[in-house]
Amino acid sequence: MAQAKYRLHNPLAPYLFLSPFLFIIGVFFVYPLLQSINLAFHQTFGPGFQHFVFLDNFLNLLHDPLFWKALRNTLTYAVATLFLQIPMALGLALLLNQPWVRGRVFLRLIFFSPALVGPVFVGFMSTLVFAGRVGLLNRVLNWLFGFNPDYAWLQNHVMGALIIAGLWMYVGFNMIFFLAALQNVDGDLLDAARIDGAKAWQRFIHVVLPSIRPVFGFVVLLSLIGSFQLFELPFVLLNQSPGPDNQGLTIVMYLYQNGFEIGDLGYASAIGWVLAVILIVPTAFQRFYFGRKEEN
Amino acid sequence: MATLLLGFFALVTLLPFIWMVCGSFKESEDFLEALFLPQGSGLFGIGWDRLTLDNYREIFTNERADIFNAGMNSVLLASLTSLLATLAAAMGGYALAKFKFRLRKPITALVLLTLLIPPPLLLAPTYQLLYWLHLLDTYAGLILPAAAPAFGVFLFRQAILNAISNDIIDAARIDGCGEARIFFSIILPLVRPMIGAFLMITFLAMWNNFITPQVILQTPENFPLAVAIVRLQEAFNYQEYGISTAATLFSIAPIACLFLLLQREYLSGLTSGAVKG
Amino acid sequence: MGYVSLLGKRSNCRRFEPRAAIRKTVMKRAQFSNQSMGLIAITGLAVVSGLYGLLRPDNEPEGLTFWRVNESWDREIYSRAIEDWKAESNRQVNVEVLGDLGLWQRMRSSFFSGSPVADLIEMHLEIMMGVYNGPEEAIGFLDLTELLQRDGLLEVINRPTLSPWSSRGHIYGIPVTVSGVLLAYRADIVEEAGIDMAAIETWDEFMDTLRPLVQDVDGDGFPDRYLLEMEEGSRTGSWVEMLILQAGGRYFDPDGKVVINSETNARVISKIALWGARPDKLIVDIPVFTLAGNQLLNDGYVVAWLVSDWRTKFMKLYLKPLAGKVKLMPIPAWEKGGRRTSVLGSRMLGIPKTGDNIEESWDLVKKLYLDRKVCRDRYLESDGITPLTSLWDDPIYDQPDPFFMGQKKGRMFIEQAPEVPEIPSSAYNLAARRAVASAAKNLRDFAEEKGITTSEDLYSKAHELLAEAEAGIRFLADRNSFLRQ
Repeated sequence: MAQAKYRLHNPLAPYLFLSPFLFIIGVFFVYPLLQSINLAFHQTFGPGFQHFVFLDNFLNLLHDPLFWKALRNTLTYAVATLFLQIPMALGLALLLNQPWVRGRVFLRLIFFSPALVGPVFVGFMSTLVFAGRVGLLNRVLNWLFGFNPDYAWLQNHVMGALIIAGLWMYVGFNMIFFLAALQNVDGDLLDAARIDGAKAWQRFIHVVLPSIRPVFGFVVLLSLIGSFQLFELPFVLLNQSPGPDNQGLTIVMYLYQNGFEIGDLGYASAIGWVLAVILIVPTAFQRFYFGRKEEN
Repeated sequence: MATLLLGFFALVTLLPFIWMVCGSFKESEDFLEALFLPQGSGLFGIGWDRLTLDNYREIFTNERADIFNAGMNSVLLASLTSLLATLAAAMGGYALAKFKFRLRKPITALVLLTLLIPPPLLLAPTYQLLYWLHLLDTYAGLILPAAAPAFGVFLFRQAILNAISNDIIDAARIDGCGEARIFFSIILPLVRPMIGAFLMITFLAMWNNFITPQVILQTPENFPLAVAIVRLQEAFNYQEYGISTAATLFSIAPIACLFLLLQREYLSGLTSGAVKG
Repeated sequence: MGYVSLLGKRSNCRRFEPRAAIRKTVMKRAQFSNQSMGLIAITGLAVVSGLYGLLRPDNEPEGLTFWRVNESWDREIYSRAIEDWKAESNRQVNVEVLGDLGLWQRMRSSFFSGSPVADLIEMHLEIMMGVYNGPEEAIGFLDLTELLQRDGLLEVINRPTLSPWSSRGHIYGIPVTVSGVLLAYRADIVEEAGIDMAAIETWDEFMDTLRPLVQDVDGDGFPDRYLLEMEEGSRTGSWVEMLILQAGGRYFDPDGKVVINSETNARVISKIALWGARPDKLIVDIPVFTLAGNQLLNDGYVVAWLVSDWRTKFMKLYLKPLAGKVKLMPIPAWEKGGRRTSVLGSRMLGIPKTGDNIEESWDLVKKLYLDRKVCRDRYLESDGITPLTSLWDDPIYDQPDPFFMGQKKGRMFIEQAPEVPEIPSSAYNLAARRAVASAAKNLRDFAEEKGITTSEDLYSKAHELLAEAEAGIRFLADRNSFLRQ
């Protein structure tokens, strides 16, 4: 069948169809990607002034306490995401997938809604939610448990605030994927397991989990990529700053600070490359691993 | 029990929204006093008469807020980008799915490579490039880099591979149909769900995009909502919580409407990459 | 190898029925109902917003453009002075008001990209500090040293107030206010407790005398009153910096060398840490300049706080319930006979060097900042005290201020003005502020954890933390090859 196509279409046609994509990807992806390598060997002041510094940017990063702090913060957030967000999302999806649940579409909509709002707006909302005295969180906690109404979350527990905001925002988002996967689980297999006397948790471990494993991998990867690129949420939440004692500094925020506040696009590119290397390994693994499966 | 749990989660999810809706109708003093609605002598013990529309009036009329203008900017940016990006992605995806040509393998590899690179890496060099091209502080500098997403090409390639048989395309060719016509009158209608989904995906992405406009745009009249809203608190000396909540709700509303229209395609398009592999 | 041409033969093509073919083959996949709604909706939105963008009046500014930070309370003074100047000079001025961060962002990217900047920019200290970290030719502001000399102004401006606007021997801006600092305290609370504030000369005396005022009024286990407002987190670091500058400490020496880990600085942050440590906590964090923070001040959550001249206006606007209940006094010294003021923030006016109207801009600067009448209005309406020493004899500054129980507020600020400490200008000033404030916060946590109750026992830890902060800032400064030249 491939043979037939050769004769039928104009050999230029695919290139014409691809031309907008290729043009833009060439100018705005391939070129900047190459330039980012070049920039990483320079120190700049704005786009106009450059000094060649060879490997200094990378060597400096090794000894840069702020960079390590940013890395540590980002990792903390990523780990919290993996161990809180994903189990909660899966749990919610399992609950919602129960046959007796009514208004499933509606509930799905509700749970997904925070993801729609976007990190900037959630960050902005969070400044109000976490504010001392007037904020929603302290008032509810105070009403329920007599919690100190003036507790300054954004002074003392920036990471806690971020993780809570992240949970609110992304649990529903991740749930969508699990829900879609659960609906593809083989019902006959589940029935068979039930007839064989498998308990609910056994059915979950032996039937459900294996069949949603690809989606599980995908969601883990997506969350990992997302949390390593955390920027808007803390940036807006902390009023465009890294927060007290740099508690809310993330890798991308540090990149932004260096590139666009200090003006050193070179250092920013070096940070970008470190981030890329951190993310490329799991991404490539996932794509390669699951990509293989798909071909078969 | 489980129903209770679901209800609880739904409540927790909705609570901030409810709180904000209440807050947006309150005066500054009541914002500090009442958790939700101010108490009073009206129905249900709520002081209905103390509610106000002033916050909403402010975001439309106060020159320090300029939120309506920012909303229009956001709509323009997001809709243009999503239309262009969807067209480019559909065309590219079609070419990669249904044509055999020499560069197919390398281009497919390029698409996959693009997906591997985290966008923040390209921020600095793109800024420099736009500086050289004199595209800083223009919408072109925002829209063009976003107008050909590799992710979209990938999604459309999958969708077209799955949804369309080669026979129908060949049949059209034999009947003398041009490639452009095949694309527009056969391919596009067949992948309509994916078009809806991807329009929504790019629209949402551009709507919520903050870092790029923050870096590239300079003139306040051109700011989209994401940037304008961050400047808002500052513009009111951090004193006007009511206006802030009203503005946030105003910026969520359009996207919520669009989502209600497109939610089925959007959600299935979003998960298709994951569930089908 | 024949292939069909790209556009196809029209006649044949028309015979081909795509819909029918689709129906035959893959009908079940295509859902025609409402899926194009999204496309239609988004296209519609694009058209509407595009039209809006096209029809939006594009007001090209004529004359001078002037970017100002958003200080709502002196807008009036500016518009009157500008109207006067317009009448005198027959020129147009377009004022654009921006928030701090917005202004910073816009100025920064304009300086970077060479796109048009305003003819005049008025901004806060924090923004200016960020301008110094590139090569000297990349400082976007005009060197005003010569103009100041030419017009004989160098001698009459309060010297310490000029310090943050100078870099590498050049002056890039004119300060708007002195921004000296006094202590505001709740006279009602203090008097009720029978405390004589006039007898208090040092911080130690202040804390010891007022200590009984820290109280848990409503009995919920959390004190509802503390002695002094602090900004313990390092949101800006200004509050710690104020106390360090007062004590004669600094973060940079005149050559720009980092000198954070000094005896004075260690002594100051040890004291601050001790004051903030539980269980004997005397000072408290307040989200300053926000609605929530104002509410706390109004509620009497703290007895005293540091105010600069411009902050007294802020109090009148947002702390109205306190009118007639607060008084000012020189801040307690670190030791007897020591300095009793400090400096908090400031604004300046600079002229970007790319402007086309430099002479006119300079003329407007002189009108706005050096004119006797405008300076007098500025005090009357916004409490700001001019740094021009030659204007300090104005009787206006001796007027009693009812908000402060009839105190001669202006004179009190002016008496302290020559003592205002210098703020050394450095590109890394803001980073240093944050680092030192973080050190102070960590020191407090350390004191709490170890139960330390005398500041002497904190010195070694203080030095350790300051050394860490210093290393961090030095690392930043050493990395910058543009400043090394």
